[in-house]
Amino acid sequence: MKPILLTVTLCVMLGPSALLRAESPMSTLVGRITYPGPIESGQVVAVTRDSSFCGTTTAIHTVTVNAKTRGLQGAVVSIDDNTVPATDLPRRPLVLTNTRCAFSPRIVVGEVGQQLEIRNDDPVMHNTHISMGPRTFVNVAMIPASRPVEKPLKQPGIYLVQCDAHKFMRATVVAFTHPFFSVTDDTGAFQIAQLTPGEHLVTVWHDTLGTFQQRVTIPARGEVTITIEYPAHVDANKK
Amino acid sequence: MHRRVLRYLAILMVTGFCATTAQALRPKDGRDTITEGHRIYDRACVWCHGTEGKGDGPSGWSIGRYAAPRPRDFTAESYKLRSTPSGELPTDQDLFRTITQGIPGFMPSYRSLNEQERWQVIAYLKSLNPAFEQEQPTPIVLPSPPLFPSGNGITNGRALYAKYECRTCHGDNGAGDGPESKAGHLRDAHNLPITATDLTDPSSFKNGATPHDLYRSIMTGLDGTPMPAYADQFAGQEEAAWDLVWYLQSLSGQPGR
Repeated sequence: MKPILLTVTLCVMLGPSALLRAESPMSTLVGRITYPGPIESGQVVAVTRDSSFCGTTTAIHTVTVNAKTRGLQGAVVSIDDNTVPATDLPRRPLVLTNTRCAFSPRIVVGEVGQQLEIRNDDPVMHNTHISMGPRTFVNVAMIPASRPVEKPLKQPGIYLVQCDAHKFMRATVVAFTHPFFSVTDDTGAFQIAQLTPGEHLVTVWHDTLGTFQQRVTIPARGEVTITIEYPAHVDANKK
Repeated sequence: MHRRVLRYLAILMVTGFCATTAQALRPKDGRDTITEGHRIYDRACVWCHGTEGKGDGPSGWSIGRYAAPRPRDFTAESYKLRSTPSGELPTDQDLFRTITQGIPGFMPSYRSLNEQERWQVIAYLKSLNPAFEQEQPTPIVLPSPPLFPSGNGITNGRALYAKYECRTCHGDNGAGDGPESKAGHLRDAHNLPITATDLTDPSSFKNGATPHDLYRSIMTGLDGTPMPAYADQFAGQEEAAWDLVWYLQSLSGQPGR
């Protein structure tokens, strides 16, 4: 009798959760962001500090386009209207590294509550200064071989990253209140999983080109592939 | 040595007494306190900080028009003078200190307001920024200066000054004439030109010139300016931070250790 009772109890406990798993959204949006505009060669700026390591000049690329695929690198793609229950935050921190007198990666994307970890791999001192609008998020000295600095992202939005020691260094941190985002790679490709079926608004943001949105229909299951072309004349000041 | 010890003890006792007394006179935060604070603000602060606290008062055309610092925007900006980590809001005590002492060369002291009035203004200032309701600023640990420093305090401090590249902005001798400052590369959060503090002139130190003040500035940085926080670099090495403080004091001929 007891084994039967135990079995029934287990079925009652596990049954609903199994049903929930069966109903969990499984759709994935896969795509590429393309840009029809010119492929820039980069603005060359003079390096006024630590030129023995950073070089005497450096090239600043604000819009990086893959010549073969016309894919736009570093665009942040998000779906803000996906209705899925909240899950635990990723445990690993978002890492922003000062390396070779540049920030790597140039675009960091994560969730509110995630730790941002700032590192310095260079043999020169950097001064990582991150702000959101008029408010400083953090401004820390990063000497060579310094210990990493960690701070949680408390607010959603766009954080601008600069180095006060090396003015040409720039990066962006974007924080969302959900996990449905991606950053395009060097071919312009992105992927966002765990999407509920139906029509969704895809938001594409680029730190130079601004914001662009497009509707997409997500199927009940499986994968949908799209290509989104960034309009050539999006207001660069629109964020 | 004996007189210095007595002097520091006296400073600590007086500071503690004043802080305790000021807290005792603090009115309860509430609508009435904020309303009274608003009334005092309109009399004492509006000319620089503006009717809405956005730092756009009529006197602002001469203060912070072409160069830093601009009157503080209480509605959204970071605060420069704090005892909290970089990116955090100031504590109420930080605000009380700034209002009481003023900022040399830029903001007058408001000791003319009694302590209750100063707390009322603080309550009003905080009501202008919703972040004060959402965040709980926690001050860093501010240890007392060591009474008996290491024998090579100033020498160690000089080495740290070089290690942390302070000279880049503050200059080889702390006169604020470092290459980045002289070249005009330093900008504040408003992108206004800003110069590095002349460390040989303590009367110009906006965040105060006592050993505690210097330690606090080094650890917390001055948000809204290029001056970074060094707390993470000095974690577990507080004695070294004091050596840097003694060296900075020696730059002005003060009795550093």
